[in-house]
Amino acid sequence: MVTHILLRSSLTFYRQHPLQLLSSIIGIVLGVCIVTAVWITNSSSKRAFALSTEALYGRTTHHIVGAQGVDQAFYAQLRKQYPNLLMSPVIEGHVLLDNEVFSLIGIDPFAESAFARLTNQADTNSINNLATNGLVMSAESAQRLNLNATDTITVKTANDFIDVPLIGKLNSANPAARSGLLVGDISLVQNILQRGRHIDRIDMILNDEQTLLIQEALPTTLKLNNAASRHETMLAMTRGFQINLTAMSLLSLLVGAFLIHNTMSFTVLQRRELYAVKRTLGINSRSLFISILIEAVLISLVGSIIGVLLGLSLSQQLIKLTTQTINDLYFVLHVQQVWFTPGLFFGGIVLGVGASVIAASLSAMDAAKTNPVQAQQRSATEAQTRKILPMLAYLGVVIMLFGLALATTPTQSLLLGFISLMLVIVGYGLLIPVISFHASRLLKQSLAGISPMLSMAAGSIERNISRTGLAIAALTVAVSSTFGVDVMIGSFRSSVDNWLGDTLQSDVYVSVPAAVSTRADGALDNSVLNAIKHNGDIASISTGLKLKTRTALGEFDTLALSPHENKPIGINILDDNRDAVWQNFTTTESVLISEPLATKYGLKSGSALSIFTELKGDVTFSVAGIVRDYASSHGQITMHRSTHNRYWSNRSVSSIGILFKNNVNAIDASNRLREQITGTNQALRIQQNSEIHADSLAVFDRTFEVTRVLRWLTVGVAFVGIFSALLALNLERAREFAVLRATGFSRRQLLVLISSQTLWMGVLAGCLAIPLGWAMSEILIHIINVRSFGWSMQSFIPSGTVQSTFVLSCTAALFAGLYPAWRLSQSKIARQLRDE
Amino acid sequence: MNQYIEQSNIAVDAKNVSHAYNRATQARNIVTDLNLHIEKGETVAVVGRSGSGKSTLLNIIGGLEPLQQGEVHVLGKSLNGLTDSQRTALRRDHIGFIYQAFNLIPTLSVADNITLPLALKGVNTAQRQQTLEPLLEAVGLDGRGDDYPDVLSGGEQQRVAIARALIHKPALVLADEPTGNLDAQSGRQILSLLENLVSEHNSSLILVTHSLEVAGIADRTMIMTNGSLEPAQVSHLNGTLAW
Ligand SMILES: Nc1ncnc2c1ncn2[C@@H]1O[C@H](COP(=O)(O)OP(=O)(O)OP(=O)(O)O)[C@@H](O)[C@H]1O
Ligand SMILES: [Mg+2]
Repeated sequence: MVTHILLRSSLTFYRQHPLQLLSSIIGIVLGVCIVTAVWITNSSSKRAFALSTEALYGRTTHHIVGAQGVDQAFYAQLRKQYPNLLMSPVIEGHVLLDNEVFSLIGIDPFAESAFARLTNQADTNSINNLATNGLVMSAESAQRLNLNATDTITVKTANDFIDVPLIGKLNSANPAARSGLLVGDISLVQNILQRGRHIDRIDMILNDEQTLLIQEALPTTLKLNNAASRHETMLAMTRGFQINLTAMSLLSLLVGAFLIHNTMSFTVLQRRELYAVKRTLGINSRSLFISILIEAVLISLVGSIIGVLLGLSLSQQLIKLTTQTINDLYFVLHVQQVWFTPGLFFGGIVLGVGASVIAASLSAMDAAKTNPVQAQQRSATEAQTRKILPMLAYLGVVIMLFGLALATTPTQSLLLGFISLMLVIVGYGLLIPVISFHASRLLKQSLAGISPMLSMAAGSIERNISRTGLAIAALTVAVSSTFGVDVMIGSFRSSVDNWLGDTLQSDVYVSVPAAVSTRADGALDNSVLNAIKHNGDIASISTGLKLKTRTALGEFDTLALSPHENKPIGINILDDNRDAVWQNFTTTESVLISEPLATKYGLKSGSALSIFTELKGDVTFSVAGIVRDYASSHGQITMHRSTHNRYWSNRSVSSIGILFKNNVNAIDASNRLREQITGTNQALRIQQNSEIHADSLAVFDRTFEVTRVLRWLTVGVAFVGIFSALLALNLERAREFAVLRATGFSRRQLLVLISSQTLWMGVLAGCLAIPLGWAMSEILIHIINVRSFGWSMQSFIPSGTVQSTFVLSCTAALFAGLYPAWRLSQSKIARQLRDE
Repeated sequence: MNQYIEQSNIAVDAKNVSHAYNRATQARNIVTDLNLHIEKGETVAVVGRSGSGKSTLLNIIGGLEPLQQGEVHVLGKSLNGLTDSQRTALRRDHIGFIYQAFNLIPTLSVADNITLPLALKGVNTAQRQQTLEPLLEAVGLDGRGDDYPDVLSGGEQQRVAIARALIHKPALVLADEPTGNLDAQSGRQILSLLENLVSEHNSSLILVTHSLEVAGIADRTMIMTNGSLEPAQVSHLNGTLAW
């Protein structure tokens, strides 16, 4: 009953302060929206993996793979040897159709039926009737591209453009099979992808007994793998990226929660006097506490529901951005649908309501337990606040030091990294009011002789520190997080930039254009190789062949490298004894591994790494050294070409780096080279190192597009937070401002007073945000990033970041203060003076 | 403007003033066809029932309520012709307000509250302090300058409000029940304080009050009935002041 009355009173309060209610809700909406959008995005791409695995593997339990595919003859022999076992050969590749990436799958229709892949029971027909002269396209794609079942399409492969007729459409219950897919008979696909007489793998459905049987029968150069392991490999590849995305969303949540806390404390603080009156009227502190909590639940429930729904629509944009990144960096993935489950829905709501209730309960506790007589006296509140400011500051220092200590403990735990980040933010936040208090006091005193009004503006921050401190802290945390993220991205970018400069040492690179950016596995023609070898401008060449290798730790991109003059040109060895590392690499059975691979699996120079080779099966190589490499967060292996050739039969080259002689002009020489080799009958990609450099940075920028989007949303959250704080702060003092007006303050002066007050808050927050932002960036760069990607990098503050952070803080404060200032200067003085 | 005001011998001249508040659907006339003339240095008491519009009248004269109908000259200046910022300047330089609800600024100390009008005029800290000291003493708040309003008693707050209204030596003081919250003894003290300060500067004073004793210090007493002012009859002033 009492609660009922209290809630009605709250309702009236918000009816009188609709903007404050609105901004509380918007703060929660944005916070929840960001986090759920990232959740939905991550779960959608995971779901897409799962569906495409299901589509491509069906009931497959195991598959036989080789280091360079499987010889077709082996399949024929296996089939003959075990006629009763369920097995089916598969080829997988990628082609471009209208500049869109399609997965091209080759299967044997006669072996397929038991595997139930690509289709559901109803239309296995389209698969069973696969003819050898055409492809079947997934129905949705065909519809989108306006293709009939009998049209001829032109697909672009690594080496060629090929015309193939369509002979049907694929309908499937599995959304992964409904778009972005071309299916053909295995021999046709072998031709299109120029795979010779090789297949990628043999899928099998085996029981335990049969598994043992097959394992016995396999030569050392072939392996029987569990089907699930491949799915895990794919997930592992994007793990770093997804963790980072989650990290960014958690950062937003952190800022969001901080702001929600501030908004909630503010609305409670504002009603301290009101609560005190209620307490003197005989309402006990328990019902007061409960009524504040119920209010918080109601407000945050509304905010969270809207937030989750907005998050759902935001996720569609994020999915586009992240799918692009995954395709750029990892593998081809089609995310067909947004994966939104009740779990995600309620998760978002629990998060928003939980954060709000925790925030509100802190201030509710405070409001409920304070002495009602004291709470009625505003100056007592302020005096009390002033008294606890130093205590808060000490506590803040302790929390911050604890956070920093935690950050430096040697662990790989990402969670601990985040906890330390949070502790630093919270600890620093506690320092802000005391700093603001003293800075404002100082400003007040030093301006007293110059401009009494500006002095007054500074003074009112000092005197209202219980409120202004909160608002400044909110703005500081929000602005510093954008600074931190900016510096993190900037450092990342400059490290990648430097690394590209170090790595791209050749003047020109020649390669076969890849159908898909993630793959550059086409082989260069011998005619091209010969032409280059006989070009008089060239001083030296390096050659590379990209392959995928299976190791004891998973599947990794591997580069078989024949370096310039057999020297470590363009290779960024991180070990101290670089000469010894190079010596080992070129002369012994060893490999170089990239930094993420080393960090993630704790490998060092000298560690052993078992790699599955084509000619000799599993071979243990030693790690010669660790190289810097920002190309893949999953990890990469570099092998000397001579080492490669002892274990693999492939002698082709997929890319060539060219260094011109010192006395020739590189541009002219590359033009001559271009003319010389475009005559050969292979489509080639000839790139200056600067082009590759720029392209790579463009991919990098695309990767961080998502982070940037999230960062701006965080700024949005921050703005709403500071807006509501300033609105509340100023409207609360409406009567005070009316007295000023009555005593002789003009409208303009009032505007100037309020604006300079908020501007000063912006200036303070801007100054305070930079050290915090810097600390955040250090933790993000050296702890969170290393733990999620495995990359180490140099901190670098991009020019202008400090200034723009400062400007952002001032602008946000000024804009947020503008409306309340305007409204107050317009309000009726006599009316405000009557308000009691 | 200053010169013009110095020359004028009329403090307030209100002619046919009417004022209405919009209440939901229909307007309610609070002031109707009111006339008031106050000479320089004159003290006028205004009495009347609660809700009769006394505070409204003071707000109109002080330029806090917009003038809806009629004409008001304050210190020789027509309020109709003044812009908002001119009205503001008039208040700042020549009018002192003592509000019914004291309207002290809760986050300013007693000293800062009192010297606020000087600060607004741009007077420096040292000079403000100089003016403040004797005034604090005069209102009996010696040594309370650093306290905040909400720890003061009602009477002490009222004295702060009076000091604030008088510190810049205004030509016109508008006092809305300055002794309403005080015991008889303190009320008398405050009143004589007000009287002295006003006569010292030859200021005019409009004094809204419910008390016969307070009205007694005025040169004349007006009564507010049905929205307009008329001179109080002896019969009104006798007895209990039962308006
Ligand atoms: N902004 C407003 N809107 C509507 N009505 C108002 C407003 N301000 C005042 N009133 C009404 O106008 C009438 C006169 O108010 P005013 O404050 O002038 O009375 P008063 O004579 O000063 O009374 P008291 O002696 O109780 O102070 C009252 O009925 C009041 O309710
Ligand atoms: Mg009144």
